[in-house]
Amino acid sequence: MKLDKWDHLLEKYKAQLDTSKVSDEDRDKVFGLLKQKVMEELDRPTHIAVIGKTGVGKTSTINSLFGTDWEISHVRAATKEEQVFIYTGERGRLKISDLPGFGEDIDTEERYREMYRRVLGECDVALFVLKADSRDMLDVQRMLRDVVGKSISNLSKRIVVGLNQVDLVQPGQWMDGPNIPSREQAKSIERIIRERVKSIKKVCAIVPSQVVAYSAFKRYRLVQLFEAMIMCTTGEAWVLDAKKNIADYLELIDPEYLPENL
Amino acid sequence: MSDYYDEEEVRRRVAEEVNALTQAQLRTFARSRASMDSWIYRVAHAIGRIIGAPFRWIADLISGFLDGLLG
Repeated sequence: MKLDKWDHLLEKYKAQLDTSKVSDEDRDKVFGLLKQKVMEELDRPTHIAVIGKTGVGKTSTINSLFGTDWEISHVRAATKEEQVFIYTGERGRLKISDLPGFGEDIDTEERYREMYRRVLGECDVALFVLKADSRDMLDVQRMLRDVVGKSISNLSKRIVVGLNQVDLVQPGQWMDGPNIPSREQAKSIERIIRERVKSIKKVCAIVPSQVVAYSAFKRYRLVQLFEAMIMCTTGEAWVLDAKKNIADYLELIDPEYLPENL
Repeated sequence: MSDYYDEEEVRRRVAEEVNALTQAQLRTFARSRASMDSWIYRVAHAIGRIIGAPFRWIADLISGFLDGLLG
């Protein structure tokens, strides 16, 4: 957050305050301490672990939820597979751990499990991104069973499963003008959500609201995806909320189709 | 049955999506606000102990100020 915004608001707010109950000196002390506390919270990098195979849209999902106006520094690659990034901007800091997808090779399997356990144990919220039309759930089930399901902590409450690229789901076709799925595609998406929730629930105690079908590209249901993440947050939810900058879904709808009262 | 909606159905479906989005925003705001209130309560107590100012006054001050800052 830029200091000039803070100072501008502070002056405006001070002028409006009823100071009959407290001296000017105390008021300035309160604002000084408050500024320190707020900065501490916003500067503490909210840690989001993003899990998913290459090409599922992890980066585009993060960009569509938090904007692209961050200065991104690549902190480290703890292993060849794990990448850690710090996003710094006016809204504070985000730490993104980009974890590899499961099931790539038998040699990496156990190392990946250890990595998942460690990062999931540390993060504020984990986002598991899958391609909505991929039926390859065995690796996902194994990971959830072996890492999340056997955990003694509440890992399962901190995970959101995002089914990305619903605009590509078939049968059916995306309707570009109104930016919604066609009738048949909407049915396909509903079926996919039911199937994914069912297969995940076989191995891990998550609730249906933790599985969200969306499209980062079409900005479709990003707000619902973010809502699911906020509901899973272990730290201060308002701090994560203050860092969001969700791409506007309505911008991609032909105005002709928008409700008149908007 | 056609894969496509007629004109009226398209508008209804778009209105449903917009409504669902608004509801999700409201729930997110409520969750965020609840967590902020609990944070404010803790911070106001901590600051109140340091400067001896009335807790309620500090909590209202912080709350109003954060609304302006983050709203």
